[in-house]
Amino acid sequence: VTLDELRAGFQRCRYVCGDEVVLPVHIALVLGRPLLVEGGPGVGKTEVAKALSQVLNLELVRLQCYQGLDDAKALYEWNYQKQILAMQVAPGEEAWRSDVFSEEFLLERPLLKAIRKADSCLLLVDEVDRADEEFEAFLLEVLSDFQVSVPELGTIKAKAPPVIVLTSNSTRQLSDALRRRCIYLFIDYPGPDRQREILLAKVPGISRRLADQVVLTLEGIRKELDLRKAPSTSECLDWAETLVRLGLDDLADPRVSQTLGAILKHRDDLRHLEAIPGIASKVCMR
Amino acid sequence: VIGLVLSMAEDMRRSGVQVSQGEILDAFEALSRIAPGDRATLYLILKATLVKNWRDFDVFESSFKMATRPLPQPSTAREPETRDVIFRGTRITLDPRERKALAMLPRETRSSLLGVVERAERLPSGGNLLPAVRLFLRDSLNKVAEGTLGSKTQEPPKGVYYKDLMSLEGDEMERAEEAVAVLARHLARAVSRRSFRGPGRAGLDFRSTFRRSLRYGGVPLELSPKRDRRRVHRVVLLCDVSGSMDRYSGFTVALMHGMARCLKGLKVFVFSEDMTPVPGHLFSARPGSTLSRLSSASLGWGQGTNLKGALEKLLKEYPESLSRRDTVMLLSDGKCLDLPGAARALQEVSSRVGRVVWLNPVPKEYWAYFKGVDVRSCCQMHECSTLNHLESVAKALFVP
Repeated sequence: VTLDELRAGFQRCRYVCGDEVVLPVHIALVLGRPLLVEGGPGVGKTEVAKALSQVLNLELVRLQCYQGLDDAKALYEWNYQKQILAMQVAPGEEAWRSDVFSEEFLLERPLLKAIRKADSCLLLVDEVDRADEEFEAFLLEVLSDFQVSVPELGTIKAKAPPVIVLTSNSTRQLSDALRRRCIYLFIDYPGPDRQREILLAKVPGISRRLADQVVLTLEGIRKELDLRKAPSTSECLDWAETLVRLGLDDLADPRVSQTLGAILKHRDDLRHLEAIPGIASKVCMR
Repeated sequence: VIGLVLSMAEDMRRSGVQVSQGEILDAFEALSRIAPGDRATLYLILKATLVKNWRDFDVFESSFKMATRPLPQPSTAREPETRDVIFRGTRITLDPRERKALAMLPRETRSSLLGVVERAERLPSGGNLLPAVRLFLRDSLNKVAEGTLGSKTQEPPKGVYYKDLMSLEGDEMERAEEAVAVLARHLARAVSRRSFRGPGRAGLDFRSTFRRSLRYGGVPLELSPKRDRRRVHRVVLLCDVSGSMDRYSGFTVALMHGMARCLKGLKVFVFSEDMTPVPGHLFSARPGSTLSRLSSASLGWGQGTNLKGALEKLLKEYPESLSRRDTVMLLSDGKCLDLPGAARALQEVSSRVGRVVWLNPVPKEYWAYFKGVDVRSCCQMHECSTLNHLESVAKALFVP
């Protein structure tokens, strides 16, 4: 895929971004390296992977990481019940001869599925920072050699190396070993112009005027107010969509205050904003 | 381009960012396969391949600016300077490389270099200054010749992450505060981490497995893993706000603020001559306004340090905060009154709690120059003079 095709592909998928996103993605594809995407929550990290899978027309295999995730959940697991039943059903000595550690009893989890697929796919390792360090170390083999080791079956090498995208919210520092194996992409909150473009592309039916108001208001809220959680791009989209669906075309409308739950997710933040009368229009005017 | 990448990697390494050979090779490969048509594309390619952490972006940007800045034009009036330098009637012979370096220097730099020689000439002629002047001149010109027209004689600027907290200036403090907020979250997670090994890793719960197997005629078809107990460690943060810690007040507040925002049960105390708990509502604003609120709350900022008194008060008045489940984090430079008394009190606190973590914002090389609390028997003192140190502490304390 050329850089221009990638740009056009992202545009087609309505993922609005500039070269600061497209170029690292292109480098990762050209070098055959995993892409590590970092950034605050809701800036569109997972969306990069989704859009890329559409652009490249690859199946998306997703592995959602969490604390306590281990290789049994991520890589493979033996179908224990099936093994027990096979041993019980087989008569006498035959039960012990039959190999219950064979392909037949293997349960594929996302990593193994991605590695063994005949056609390439896009493997999304989402929120890798939430997984434990042991799991991160386990991932290194997959990321560098596109292979995994199953003790009973040996090393399984990828038939068609998957495109790998890892995302992280930086709740924990990832190891340097993992970072070095990847091409790095940091997605920041978009500026007002890009935010406006995103709104116009993603929210059908939004007027240019409302988009401007939403963008300016959110800019003001992020800068002026001390919130526990500042509204992200995805929350901005949610809010805009809410406003459009409710038929509100002006933020000066008093009903707007009832929609603030779309951008503020903490009770303290809501109180803080509600305490200032007409904040939306005030910030907007500023 | 090869020279540019190598010089940038060298600059970044000198600033503290680890750029590996693999990353340099990645940059070369990317550049060979994607022709960088303009400066912006070159910037993005190098950024994606050489930097693997957002915190190092400022170092990368200054290195990129330095490496791609236009070369200064050679001076037009170079004729007189290409000759050898005369010092008190003796000719200091320069080799062609040194002459070229002298000729290529910008006018101001050349004047300042020769000015040093002139000033040395005006000194009283007590000793023989010629060898020293010759050495200075040749050393300077060699440094110029090795680099690109004097650029290498400058130290590459350090990123906020690698700068001594004391030397942060201007908008760096604001950026550092933002970084501390993220690091405080990592630190909070490291010290309060639950002991959780994941389902199944704690072994098999035989009682439950046997019970479940009854419904399958005694065949253990459903295995029941033992559930690991989750233990949340509470954290007590004790910050020194005495006069000697004034210069770190921004960092102290940013750390308190960052940790208070992500640890619900965090108890924060500040101490100087007396120890005072910090009410939680003071942390609801931005770090900047928290600092002014804390200052106006007359919590003893800028006074002397009585660590012993603070720890004794903690033991006496807040015993419920000190259990085996708790971690006490102490942020102080260790300069205090009654050092043996403070060490004893710290020992007592250490025996009551799970662990004591001491963060010292003074660079380690200065620790030997002043007497501090002897902490060897009760806790480990971590250097915390840069944000990079703070991150290392968070990593070191993170016990899986």
